[in-house]
Amino acid sequence: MRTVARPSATVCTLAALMFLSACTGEIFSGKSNASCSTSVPTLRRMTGAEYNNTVRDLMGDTTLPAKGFPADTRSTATFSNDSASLDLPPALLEGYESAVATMVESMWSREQGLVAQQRLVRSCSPATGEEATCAKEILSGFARRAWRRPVAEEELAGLTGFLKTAADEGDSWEVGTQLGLEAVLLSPNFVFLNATGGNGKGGLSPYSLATRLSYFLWSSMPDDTLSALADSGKLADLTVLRAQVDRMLDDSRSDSLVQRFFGEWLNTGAISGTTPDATLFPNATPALKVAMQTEAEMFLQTFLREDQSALGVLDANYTFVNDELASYYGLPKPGSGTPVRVPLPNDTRGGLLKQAGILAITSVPTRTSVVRRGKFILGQLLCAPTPAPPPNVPALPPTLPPNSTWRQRIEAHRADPACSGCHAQMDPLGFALEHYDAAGAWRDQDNAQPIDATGSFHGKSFDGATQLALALKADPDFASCVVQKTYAFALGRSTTATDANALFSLTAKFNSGGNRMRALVESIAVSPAMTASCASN
Amino acid sequence: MWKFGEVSRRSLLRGSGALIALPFLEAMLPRRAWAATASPLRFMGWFHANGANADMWKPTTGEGALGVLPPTLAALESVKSDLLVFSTLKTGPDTMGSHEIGLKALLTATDALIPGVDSVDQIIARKSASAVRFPSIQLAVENNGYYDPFTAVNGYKQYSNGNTDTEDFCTDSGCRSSVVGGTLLPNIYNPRVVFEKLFGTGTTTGTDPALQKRLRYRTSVLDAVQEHAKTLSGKLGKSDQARLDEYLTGIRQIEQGVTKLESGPALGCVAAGKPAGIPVDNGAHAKLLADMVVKAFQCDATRSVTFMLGMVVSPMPFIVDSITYSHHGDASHWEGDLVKKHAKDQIDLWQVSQFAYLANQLKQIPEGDGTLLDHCALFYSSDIADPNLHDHKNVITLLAGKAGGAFRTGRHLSTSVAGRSTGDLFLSVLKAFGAPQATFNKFGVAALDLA
Repeated sequence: MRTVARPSATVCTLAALMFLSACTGEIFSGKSNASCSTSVPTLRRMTGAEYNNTVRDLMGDTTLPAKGFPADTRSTATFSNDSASLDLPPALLEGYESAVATMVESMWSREQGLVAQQRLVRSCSPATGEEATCAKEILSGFARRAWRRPVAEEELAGLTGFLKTAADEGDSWEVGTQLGLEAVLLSPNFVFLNATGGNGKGGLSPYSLATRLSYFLWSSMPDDTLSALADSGKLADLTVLRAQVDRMLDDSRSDSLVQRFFGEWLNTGAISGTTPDATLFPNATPALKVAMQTEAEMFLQTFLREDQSALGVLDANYTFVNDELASYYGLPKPGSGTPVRVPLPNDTRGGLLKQAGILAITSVPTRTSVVRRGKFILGQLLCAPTPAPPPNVPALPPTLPPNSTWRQRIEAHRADPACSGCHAQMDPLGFALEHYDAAGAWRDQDNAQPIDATGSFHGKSFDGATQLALALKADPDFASCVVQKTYAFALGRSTTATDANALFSLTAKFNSGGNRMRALVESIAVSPAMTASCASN
Repeated sequence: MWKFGEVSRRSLLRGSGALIALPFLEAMLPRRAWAATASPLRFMGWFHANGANADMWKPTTGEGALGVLPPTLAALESVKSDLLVFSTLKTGPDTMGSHEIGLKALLTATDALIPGVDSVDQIIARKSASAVRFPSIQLAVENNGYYDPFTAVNGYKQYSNGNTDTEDFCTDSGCRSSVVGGTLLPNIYNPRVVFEKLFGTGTTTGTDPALQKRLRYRTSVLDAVQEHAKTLSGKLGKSDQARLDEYLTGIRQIEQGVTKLESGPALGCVAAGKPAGIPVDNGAHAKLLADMVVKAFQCDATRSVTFMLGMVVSPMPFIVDSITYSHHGDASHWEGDLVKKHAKDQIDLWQVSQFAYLANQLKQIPEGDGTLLDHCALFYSSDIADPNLHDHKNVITLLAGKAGGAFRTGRHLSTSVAGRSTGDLFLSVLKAFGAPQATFNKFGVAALDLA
């Protein structure tokens, strides 16, 4: 007879204790070394998305070359720009090398047909005898922009040396210049965002600051305005810096924050690819799933564009629907194929946790998952990720009374002492969302039984999603999680104990200023962690 | 193991101190000729997710020649004579098992990925690096998070062929199997990307003067950026230096590849039909990748491949008898529910069938005095043994291909290898590939006799 080894209760209890300590504010008691050690630069390469954006802004390449690179890796607890995970496997270098040749060649012929003002790279068209001068102008302008810093004379000499390389093969200045452009793009000075490092005196070079800012807010290179301010040294002025943050947030390039920051934090990028079972949820069409994702993205974007409290993410009384999604929600059709902003007449919807997309990606294809929903709230909204389950997870109880709800099955599972330690935290959060099925539609029954949406967290009881949202809104961990996530994304690395003081003061400022997202982004942008450098070099 | 009546060719050579022409002895068959073989040997490490039910995959015939294949292995009938089935090997520690430990151990035979640990495919990759264009390639079908309510990560298969198909939602230890120095190498999922990597446009040959000039240009660009890196390195701290070294290693590897193209024979290896992207259907996806592996082996573009059909705790949805099952959550933990067990058995049949397709394709291609499959060692194993128990003893383990004659195939190995580990098996593979080692990581202590 087969016996099933069960993990000891200790495993789960220990894990539960670890997890609890993660949200008791203990992080703030860690030793902190002022602002300095938080910003030791570590060479960080561009992510695939940053590479695509950068070559778009640098040379008008919209082919998304990073699609041909090996995938970047990311866990749900971190952002794709986390320096620690951005390794350079040989296959990535191969991808770079083949991409730069293609990009330069197509740019060269594309810009041939453009008037001077539209050209990003080919800034001159030489008369006979002036080819070398023009090549030098093109290469120096391109390297300045691509490397995000002034180019030294000897570096430029190395690039113009390709004119001779080409001439020796009997080729024209154009071929030589293109080789130089390829070298600029394949160079570590392009690939690594912070290749220049700091000046070692506690202040970041203005070029590095401009780069940090633009990859934080735009996931792309600094534009001419930012570069000019770096050149003149004015960017270090906090008033100038604040004004730049405002300008950059209003620029459409900051849409990248919706895709990369919110999208990776809250996993909204996964919505259109979610797969509710087509037989059970026939209304969840591909078009509807796209509308769900757009809803979440447009909704989150309002917190960057408008000066309102980030806590509204949990219960704002508006959303974005097109006709199909409006019908799905039982709302009046706005008469639009693309989602538009609509007020919400009742509390069936309102806030991220009641949006169909988030509810769908935290379900399994055939049913809801209170565990995944609870995990999402804990890990993503409260920054208290649940530890991985122990090995030898026992299966769900095989025999249950007929007509039992999924909640009853889960509760039976949780009765197992081996698992109750962890699931006692996750499940009661997820239960509050049980009125929404695996495709995010409202339901009053599960398996012909009435829904029980009562739950609790941190000693607070609630019934249903509205009360859950209120409880989370009142929980200081949500606001500090917003700060922590924004900070980690801004710096391109995971937070550590040395960030405790910085996070503490940022959170205090965030709270006292009404928890406004834009103000938070600005605070982080001008904070020592962003502007100071204590380079080891 | 020495058997009466057989003469080991090696025993003849031992002590002779030189490679000498030996008379061909019937008794040496089917051992591999000791001197250089005309055809290179290729290795593949294949991952079968979530274990398999022993009553369905273990041969009932005991040690010896393979009889009627058990149900789960049925798709391998046409390559039965090229197959070794191991029913008593362990893949990981004896203590409480787990999916994650099992995957870590899959090709490393150790339970901790610490610096210095290389997987078997990477040792082979290093050995063949100077001869091939790509020392190794890592492929996977499932680019996924977990659907399973009991596991760690949110995620989904990125089916779309749009902007996000380069993104990898896997966590390191959950979806990767190839290891260099304790670091897991990323997989490529997109068949189009694999195609472009292996075959490029596939229209030029090594003797084309225009290509030769282009190769010289590439070399000069690669030289220039190495100079940039050197200038930079003087300014860096230790950890940054390591990252810059990764950059330089990659650049040098490209340069070596360019040199090979300059001097090497015509590329001449053009695969038909560039895939458009990632098929929605997992079987179609696996087949596209398998076709490219066959071509890459045939062209000797690489001699080392890892292939992950699923990932650890694979939730890949399957429809069996009109019911949708999550592979791990619904089917693998069937625990007494025979309907679910049937689903798991069907899923395993499907998994083995994808492998059988690849082995069959390799067998169709003549090479040297046999087939391409004869010059392969395709290793197939799983993270756990019993889907309910999560243990690492008696894990489903197969080897397809004769490794140039080093392995006597068509057999079920049971009592003769009882309690031995896949680490021991890897020692046999490495020996066959001309890279013998005394031990292999944690669990490899002595080679199995597969001859």
